[in-house]
Amino acid sequence: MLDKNAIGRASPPTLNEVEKGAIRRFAEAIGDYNPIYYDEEYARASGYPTIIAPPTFPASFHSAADLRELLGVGIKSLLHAEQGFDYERPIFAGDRIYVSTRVSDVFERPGMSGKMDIAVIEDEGRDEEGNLVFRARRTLVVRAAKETP
Amino acid sequence: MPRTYQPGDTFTHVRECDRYRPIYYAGASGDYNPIHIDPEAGSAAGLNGNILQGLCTLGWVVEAIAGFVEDPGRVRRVKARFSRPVRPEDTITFQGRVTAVQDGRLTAEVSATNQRGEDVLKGAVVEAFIG
Repeated sequence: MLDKNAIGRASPPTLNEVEKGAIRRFAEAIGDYNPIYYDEEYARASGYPTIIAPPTFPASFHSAADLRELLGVGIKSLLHAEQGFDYERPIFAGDRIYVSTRVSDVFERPGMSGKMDIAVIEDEGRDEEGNLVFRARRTLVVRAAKETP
Repeated sequence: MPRTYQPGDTFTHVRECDRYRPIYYAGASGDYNPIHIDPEAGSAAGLNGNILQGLCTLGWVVEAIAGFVEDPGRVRRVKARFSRPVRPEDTITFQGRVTAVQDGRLTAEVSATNQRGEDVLKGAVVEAFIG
């Protein structure tokens, strides 16, 4: 089972620059061709200063968090079981967002083939002034590797 | 005239997970977990082939509510449990139902089922500004 001491372990904030090309590629990967994701004029006519990112765009952000370090185990496989996002505002092209990651919980849950190790990871994105932009919460089924990390 | 929303209102969205969708999504998101892009790795993990990233399915939930409130920038909250894998060649039907409208904010429950009528999400909820 995962080490309960991992709870509260966190990574320092990591800068993510929101680029227009990355927004467009992300929208295309979902198959969402809403012009608000690539057409400046359309976005401005919609009341925004510039194009916005799809709300699930933080999926592409990276943080300094290495889950092996945060959880203190080698990882054989990860399965994404749950995901939530809360947004304070849309994410805009040109935003500079600092993402930090924290282990919110680790526990065991009965599964199809014995007990499963669950980790709940929270990410938080803040702008340069420190204002909250989004919070994300993911629940992962973790299969630890036999060897130590 | 802004449109009005009421509890009980519904919306629908359909998306097909084409054969290469998990690879496009891996490229754009950076999620190259082998279970998404390599059928053999998926099978080795007991998944019977590769599966779509749950976050892509969640992106489609957001697309559904964004279409309904006519602006993705209004989305304030989304969450779901990935209860069954989405596989290449699956077609997912999203059906939303407004459960509350209060203080310029709308809450809806969303179901997502594959072409066999099986739920791929549980407890999916979205919230958006409508003011």
